Amino acid sequence: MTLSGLALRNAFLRNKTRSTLTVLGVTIAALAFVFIRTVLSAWYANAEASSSDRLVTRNNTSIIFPLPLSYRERILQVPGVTKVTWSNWFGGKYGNGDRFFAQFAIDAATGLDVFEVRFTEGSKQDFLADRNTAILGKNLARDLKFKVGDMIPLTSEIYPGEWKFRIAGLVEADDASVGNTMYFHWARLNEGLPAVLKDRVGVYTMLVPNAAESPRVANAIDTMFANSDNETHTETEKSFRLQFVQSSSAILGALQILSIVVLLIMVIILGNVVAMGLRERTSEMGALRAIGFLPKHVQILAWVEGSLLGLAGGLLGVLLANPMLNGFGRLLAGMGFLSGLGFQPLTGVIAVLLATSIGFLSSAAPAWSASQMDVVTALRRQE
Amino acid sequence: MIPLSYNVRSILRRRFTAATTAFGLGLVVFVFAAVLMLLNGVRDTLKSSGSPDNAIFLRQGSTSETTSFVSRDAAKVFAAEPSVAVEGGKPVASPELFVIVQLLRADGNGTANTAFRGVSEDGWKLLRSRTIKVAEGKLPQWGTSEVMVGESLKGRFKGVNLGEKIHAARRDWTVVGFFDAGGSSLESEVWADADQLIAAANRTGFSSMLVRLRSRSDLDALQAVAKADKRYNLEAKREDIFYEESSKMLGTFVGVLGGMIALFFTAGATVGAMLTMYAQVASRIREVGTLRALGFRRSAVLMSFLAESTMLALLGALIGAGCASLLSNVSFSTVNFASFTEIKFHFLFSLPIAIRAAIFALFMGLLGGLLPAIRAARLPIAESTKG
Repeated sequence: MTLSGLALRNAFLRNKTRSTLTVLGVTIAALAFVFIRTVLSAWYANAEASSSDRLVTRNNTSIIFPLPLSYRERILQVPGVTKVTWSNWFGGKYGNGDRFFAQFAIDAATGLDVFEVRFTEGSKQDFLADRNTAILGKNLARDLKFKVGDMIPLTSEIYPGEWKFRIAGLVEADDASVGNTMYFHWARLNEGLPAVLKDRVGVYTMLVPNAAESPRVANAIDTMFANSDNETHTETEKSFRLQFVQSSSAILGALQILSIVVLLIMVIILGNVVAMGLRERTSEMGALRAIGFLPKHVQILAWVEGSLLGLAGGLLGVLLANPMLNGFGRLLAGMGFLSGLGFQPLTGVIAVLLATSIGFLSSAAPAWSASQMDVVTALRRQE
Repeated sequence: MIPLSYNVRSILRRRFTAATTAFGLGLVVFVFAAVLMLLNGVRDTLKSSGSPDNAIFLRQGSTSETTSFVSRDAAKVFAAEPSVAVEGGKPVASPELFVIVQLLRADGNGTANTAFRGVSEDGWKLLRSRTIKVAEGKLPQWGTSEVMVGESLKGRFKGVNLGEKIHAARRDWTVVGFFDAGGSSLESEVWADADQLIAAANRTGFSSMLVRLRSRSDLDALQAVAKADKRYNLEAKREDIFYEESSKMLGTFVGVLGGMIALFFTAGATVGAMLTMYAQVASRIREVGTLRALGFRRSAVLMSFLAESTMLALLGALIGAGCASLLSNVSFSTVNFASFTEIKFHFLFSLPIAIRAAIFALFMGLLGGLLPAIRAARLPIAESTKG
């Protein structure tokens, strides 16, 4: 039998109950780790997906205050800005509101351009030609089981009344958030409002192709509207979206800590198991040493054992993570949180690597003490 | 029955393994209790914001004050309703404007959505001042740009200090006081004169109107009147129910996420306890054989090992619940999805939580100890005494 064969036997075959439990423990820890990291990255996904060449202008007081439509022309004149579009958060509810999703009223022609929307089904011409149409992110349409041509009724706390749109197309973009969002004509929203509420814009989004110019452009826009009735605040799309994440930073911080705690638990389980195994096999170690194996061999044996246990648990955990995340993602999306929670291969790879290296590291201390043991004492000891 | 002192000695003999197991179980109890405390805190903060003696008028269908509108006319009409309590000839009603402003965080980490509430002089005197006290500084002068700030905001935002100014809604507001609202979500708000805020925020009316009911039974009548009056499109809700509903979304979220994590930790800790107890059984085979040879029954051995895992679990519960109770002094702020403003919450410890955590630990200990205990009980005497 080779040394690695012996390590394999030690890890899995010698005490099957213990090996099963250990692998199970590491599996659970790996599963928890992948779960927490995925929830965290889903939280930041929206901000990460933002485009670096877009700026957003909102009312300086806060996002709930609108801006006048007339700002559009003035913003377009700022050097560095090539395109301007505008949108309003609709805050609509579909059906009984169990499935929350974002809807924006956008200026159709400029909006499709600035947000780089691609049609996967339906047609752009159809959408642009009819004010009563909407486009749906393709993931959203899949979840809600909508197809092109269906009617989608909405109610909104912000804009009272009955709103109904025909779906003209399904869309996607490099910005993944588009796939989970609904867009319809700002013009349609505007014509449905009473006179006092007309011509109000939620936010302007500008294209500034040269990102180095962004700070200057943002400053120029805000200076232009300073001391007016509607002062503005301009920032990159990323920092605009990050604000929504930052408000939950306490919860995010707690999750970060928990993901580290999970790793600590892995260390405790694996370290304990390897130590227990080695303690029981003390006399065997003595025998190995007596027939000529060196301390380093004993040490390697323990390292390999720990790493193998970690690897097996990590792999199993990552295999189980995919179906679990899908199920949990649907549950959360159904309640309107964190749409697009899905298994990411990179997180899986990290989890397996971490589990293996934790297996290796946590066996280091027991491995060292086993290798240092005096041959005669080890042979004599019985337990 | 095998005396418990046998188990205590056994635990003490393998201190390191026992400590790691108890620590692991303690960690789980801690996470479990923390999630419960958090839910408890969220509910308490939002629920204590409202009273069953009050009703709040909102636009029909609005679930938060942010999206609600109550015109000045409507406020006058409904305040005069007979179901609304009267004091000194005036209706006990507080029409209020609620807007979200963005304040600069004190740590320089961007801005945060903060609630800014405008209150009228009568509304304050007759209604709000009964539950909210100025804790430091003074009440803002009516008709000026003075504000008072909830104690939860202290130190979190730039300019939130007595005598300093905060910039919001195109104006500089001077902070003249801090108020105490009994730890409710109102403590995360900035309060000013309603007319000043309406002018600064370019509004024409209020967001909501809070009224005190003449008696709790008058709620139905008030709701019927609000619903029947088609001019204003308003509805009346009992105040505490309104706040309870607004905690639902955040509560569900924390519950689902926390529950999921607690589930992982429970499974992990049970496996950990099982590993430890199996190892205990394996290393004590000869002891078990001796005990059996002395005349102890299988059931006594089973009970003895279960008692040992229960002891470890209770030790864990003590550590976990003890650490969790220290969290009572910890607060954190997060966005409430219903109002979209940041609210400061506390972890709230309570006896039922401690009891639930202990039962939970006991359950883990028993579950983790059961299979190893069965193995110990089934060891054949003859072979096990040989070792």
